[in-house]
Amino acid sequence: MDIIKINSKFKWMANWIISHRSVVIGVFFAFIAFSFLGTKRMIMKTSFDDYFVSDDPMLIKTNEFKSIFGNDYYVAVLVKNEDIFSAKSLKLIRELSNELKDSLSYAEKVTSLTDIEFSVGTEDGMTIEQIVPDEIPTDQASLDLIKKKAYSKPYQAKKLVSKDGTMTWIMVKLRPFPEDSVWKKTSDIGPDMITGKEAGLIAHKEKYAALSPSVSGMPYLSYEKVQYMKSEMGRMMGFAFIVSIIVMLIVTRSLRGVIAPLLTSISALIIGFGCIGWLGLYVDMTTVMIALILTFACSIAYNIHLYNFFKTRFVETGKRKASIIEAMCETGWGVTLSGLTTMAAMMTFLAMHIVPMRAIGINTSLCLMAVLLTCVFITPVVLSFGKDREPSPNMAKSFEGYVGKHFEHFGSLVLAKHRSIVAIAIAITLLCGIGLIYVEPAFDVEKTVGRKVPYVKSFLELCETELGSMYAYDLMITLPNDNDAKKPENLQKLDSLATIVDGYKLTKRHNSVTDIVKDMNCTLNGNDMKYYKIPSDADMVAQLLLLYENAGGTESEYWMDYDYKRLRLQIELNSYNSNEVELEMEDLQREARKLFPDAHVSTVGNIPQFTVMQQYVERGQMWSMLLSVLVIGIILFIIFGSWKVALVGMIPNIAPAIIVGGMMGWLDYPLDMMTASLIPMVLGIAVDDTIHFINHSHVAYDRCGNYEKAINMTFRTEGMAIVMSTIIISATFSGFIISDATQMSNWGILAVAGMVSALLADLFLTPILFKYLNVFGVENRKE
Amino acid sequence: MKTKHFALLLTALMAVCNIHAADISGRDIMQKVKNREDGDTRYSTIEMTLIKKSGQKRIRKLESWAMDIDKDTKKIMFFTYPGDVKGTGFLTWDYDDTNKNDDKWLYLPAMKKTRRISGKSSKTDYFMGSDFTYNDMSTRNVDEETHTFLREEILDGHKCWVIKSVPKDKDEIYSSRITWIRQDCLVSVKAEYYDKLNKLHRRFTASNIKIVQDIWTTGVMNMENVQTGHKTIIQIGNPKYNVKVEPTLFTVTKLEKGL
Repeated sequence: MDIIKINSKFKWMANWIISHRSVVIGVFFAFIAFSFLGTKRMIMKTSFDDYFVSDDPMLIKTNEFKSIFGNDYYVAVLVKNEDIFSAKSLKLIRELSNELKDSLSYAEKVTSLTDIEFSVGTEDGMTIEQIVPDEIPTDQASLDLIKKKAYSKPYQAKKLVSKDGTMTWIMVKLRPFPEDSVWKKTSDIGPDMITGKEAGLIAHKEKYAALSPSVSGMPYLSYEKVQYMKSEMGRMMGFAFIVSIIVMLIVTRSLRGVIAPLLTSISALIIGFGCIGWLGLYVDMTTVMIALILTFACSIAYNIHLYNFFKTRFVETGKRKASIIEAMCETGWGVTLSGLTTMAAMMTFLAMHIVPMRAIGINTSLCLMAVLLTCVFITPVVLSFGKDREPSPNMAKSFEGYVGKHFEHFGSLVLAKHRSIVAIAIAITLLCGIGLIYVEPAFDVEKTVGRKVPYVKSFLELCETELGSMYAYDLMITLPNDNDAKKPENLQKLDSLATIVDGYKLTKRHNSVTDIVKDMNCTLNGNDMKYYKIPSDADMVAQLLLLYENAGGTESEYWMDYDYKRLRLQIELNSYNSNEVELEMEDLQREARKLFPDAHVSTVGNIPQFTVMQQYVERGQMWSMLLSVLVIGIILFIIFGSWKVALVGMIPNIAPAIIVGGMMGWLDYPLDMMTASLIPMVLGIAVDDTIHFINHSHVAYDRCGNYEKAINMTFRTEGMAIVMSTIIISATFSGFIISDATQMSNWGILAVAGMVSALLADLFLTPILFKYLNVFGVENRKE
Repeated sequence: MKTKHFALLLTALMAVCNIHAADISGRDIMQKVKNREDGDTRYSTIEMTLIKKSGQKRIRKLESWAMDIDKDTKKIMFFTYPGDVKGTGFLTWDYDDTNKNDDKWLYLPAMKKTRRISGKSSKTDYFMGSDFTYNDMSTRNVDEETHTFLREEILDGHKCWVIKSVPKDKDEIYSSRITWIRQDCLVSVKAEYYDKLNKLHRRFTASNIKIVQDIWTTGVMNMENVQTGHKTIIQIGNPKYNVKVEPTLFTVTKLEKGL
């Protein structure tokens, strides 16, 4: 491509913009207003199901499971009190249970100490009663009787009350959440979020304080996560805002130099998010956070390039409009290329089979496009207001001249010490390359967010109690024929699977239809524990289930489908260790296949989803990284028309990718949704400076025909901008480091490391590679 | 509370007279509905189909007899389908006296034993996994709810009274119910149940309403939970009133003997 021709096009465009600035401003404000309306249409996704693309086998399996067994999400409340069997506690537990049942929008059924299907065997039959009577007694003898009854069925008691009588577990099963198209008509908050919010509001009412309630379940976890992320995002954006203003003030030493980038950044964000809203694209807290911070950082960086050139020329000439036009002419193409390569790198996220990762790619690309548009059209307009000045009498004595001179010296030094620099670069890259082997994915809240965050701390503490549980998964067994599921031999096999599950380290408890059948059998036989087993007669099983339903029991359909073809075994976990649980799930499936050789066996629920997602992230991360390298290389080749230039553009940028990956391995930073976004993003941004460097060196080399001179000239004009843009981007990203959430702080550290290593690679390696590879032609011939 | 045979509960209504909206309150209308003639004894076959949103179905068939003895009702029913529960029988003596628990016996052929079931499942529980609660199935005391006459409306060509009923018991699963009652036969043809958050929860419709032995009888009852998409269809077959049955039919001995 002929850079001089392209630059002249930018010059023409800048001329047009400045002479039609009222038109540009008018169109811009109309666009901003339109976009602002679009931002109101954005709906935050929160459900983990939304992470999967619509044809994903895991999602299809989950949806099939939900259509059969209902919603696998639940909310639960752990109640703690010195004595849960006191009249006061029982009254409050009943009140809380009733309120959860009546006031949770999606509540289907509540199981609690005061609201449970409880049948007791008698000499001539059975009696159906409540553990806690309608009228709660106040005398100690009656309260003791309630306590005795609560512990009378040990298999039921262990799911309901703690051994010491200080805790009880209130479980709220949820009805299926409606389709997006249904709930969006009446609400802009998803059903899981509403459920989490309502559960929190109810449980944390002052009147229940004596019960010290702790809420559990994925809807509440998601809600708390969003709330935390919202406050954290505000804090970090505030930090980024202040830091960038300080850095810009130092760099530009002018109010206009601060206002122009901030104005374009904010406008670009409104336009970008407005487009996302109008297009109805996927957004969640993580994708928004990355898009926000990246857009903000890039916008300021692009502006700095433009402003730096403008300022230098303005100081030299004193002519405002002419300086803007020249700045656009010289840096417009570089800025555009920077934006395009970053967008191309971000678009490689589309290779991932994960909706939020794809959204990061699309949403950030849209925002970056908005940044480019505002930077090219609006920044020149903002800078054009104001008067001309007297030109600086001695440019060399100005700040710009002083810094430029030092950068020039630096360029000479780099070329002189090329051997040591290359050796050090290879050593660091190798060391980090080894670290890449140790990168491990993780999705559990302890590893990714960490105990420093209050909501995570309380969740983990809840899980460590005798009753509390947060994560669960299901084993679904699909038998060959209808009615197979109620055959005694199959139920007995399911029961033996449950015994195997009991032996797993992570099991807190399990639930299945066998609990109901065994309970009914035991009850009908005078509470004799020797009958707490699956009867061997098929008709007996069917009749017990019928009796259960006739007695008002509604739980059986949660565990066995209408065709009596599918069985469900739910395993609640005491903690989540991604590797351990994967092994346990594999073992359980293996055992299930042995016991049910003709059946289809699969695990479903959040934990298997996490496991699959981890595999996607691992695979996707690799693909995305390779693709971004390839795409950027191709773009550089197309732009500069030379494989050598493309190679030189790539080498200093692969190094930071390896350094980021290596740090993750050596420092044990897990690969999660946020860190997975890093390498392609760092590649996309890091290459910007390389492009600026190549662009200017190319022009300089064409003018002087000498590599050393060309490199020194580039350092003089671009050195400051390259360093400053990296400092600003790093400073913006560094806001994440102060976060208490592990994944955010890791992201911040790695992003800054990536940016700094990219800068060092650009400053030290790129000039050396220019000379080594004679990228713009052989010097002698040119001279 | 008097619990009547559920299959006939929402059916068997007789128009007593022409009632004009201006002259009658919501409570009066509901009282007239309750007072309809439904025979001293009743027989029918019942087919109950439970349908999940996914389309999965569960079908149960029963044969049922009921007899009114003063204000109390005795009923006996036997499952005829599916095969593995065939012969399972339930005998119930429902007492009008709300302080007296109903007597229930269950006969499980697989166990070859009759078991007495004492205590009671909550009236607000769903009946046999269906979308009907025990309360929906029973003729409740009119004063258990506060009734308000809303309007007159033509529904499917029939003039109806529309009544809003609010339960007095805070444990009821619905906060209000709107019922459409056909003026010509005093049959509830449609009802909407609203949950505690005042959102539509369940919708009842009755169809195939015809006169059998001078008694208005509903042939099909449909209850849909609009929030979960689950529905229950109850089809009443071969309804007979004032059938000749002996009080000995409603005993444990007969329960164990089976059909």
